[in-house]
Amino acid sequence: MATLAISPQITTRLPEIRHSSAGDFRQMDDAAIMLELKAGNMAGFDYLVEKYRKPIIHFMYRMVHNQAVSEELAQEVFLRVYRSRETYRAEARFSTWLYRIATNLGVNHARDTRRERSASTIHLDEVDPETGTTPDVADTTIGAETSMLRDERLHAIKQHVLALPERQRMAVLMHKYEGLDYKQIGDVLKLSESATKSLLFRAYQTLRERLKEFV
Amino acid sequence: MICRDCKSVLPDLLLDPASPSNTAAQAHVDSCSECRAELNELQATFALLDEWTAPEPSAYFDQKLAVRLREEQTASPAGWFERLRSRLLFNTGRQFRPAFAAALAVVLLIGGGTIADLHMHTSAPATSAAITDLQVFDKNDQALQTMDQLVQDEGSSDDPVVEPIS
Ligand SMILES: [Zn+2]
Repeated sequence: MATLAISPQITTRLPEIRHSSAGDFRQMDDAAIMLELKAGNMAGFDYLVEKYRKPIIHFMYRMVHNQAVSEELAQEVFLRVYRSRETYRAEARFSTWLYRIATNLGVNHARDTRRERSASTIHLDEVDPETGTTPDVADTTIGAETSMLRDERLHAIKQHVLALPERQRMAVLMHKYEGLDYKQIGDVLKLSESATKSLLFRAYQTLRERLKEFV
Repeated sequence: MICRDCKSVLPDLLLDPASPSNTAAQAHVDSCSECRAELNELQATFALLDEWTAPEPSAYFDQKLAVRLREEQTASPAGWFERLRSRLLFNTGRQFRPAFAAALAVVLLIGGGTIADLHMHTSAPATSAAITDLQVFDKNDQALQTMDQLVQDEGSSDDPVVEPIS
């Protein structure tokens, strides 16, 4: 999977003479791979994209509720990684830095589109691939009523997560769905670990209150 | 421990039940049905959130990213230079056997004045790109800060000190 290299033909056809192969990268930490990228080894970039593509797209998706937009923003995240290869300093963990870029982009996007979306026209109406128009096996066995209830529940989850104050929402997305720990989330949001904890706890308590009828 | 204190640490108890800091809360929950019910509710909420799954990345994600990357590399002289440098350094394929690299070096030397240009490009455009990026981050941080000010519920205690991203 080296389609992103500057010269795809070269790296894909002659993997054995690459400076560092994907196999080597698996032994390296992300900061070291960034140094490879800084030195011009695009295979390092391919590797980082491969590694973080899915979590970053998912993170973006839960921020913007739209697959096409989330993928565009995720691409922008990786482009910024590429652009910053010269100035990257391994002070924070690479993933922390990555989520920070993603958070900034997501927040800005929300800000830019805030005017368009009044509370009622929020992107929640987009049909989700996982719940959407193509009925899966489960849909044929469970009744239409159950399916409706499931959609309603999902809608409520999205709505109430979206309704959380900005930083609480970001913290929940990173903690619940991306598996980041308090320390890392704190680093992304520039909060202390204890402040992050209390931010998250408030968020979860709010969600518990608001989603009461669905549990 | 009183109920109010217990409730404020219920998420911690849920997420890290074995932590010594949660011993008191655990003991309270064991003896207080109201707090136990709330803990169960919280647990159910936590499980409920799992229902929100995100779609698989589309098949074209990589190609689209590759296109955007190439556009960027083509647009920037630094990108062009890096492309050349990275080929010389890392991709010694058929097109870039040492003899070829040497020939290319000669060609570049013949270019005379352009060699100075190239040296400039190694640092100058890269730096300016980085600076632009930092400015973008600055702006993003300002956005985040503005957003923070708009957010009503957060106490001043967890206000971030906003600095440019490193
Ligand atoms: Zn109690």
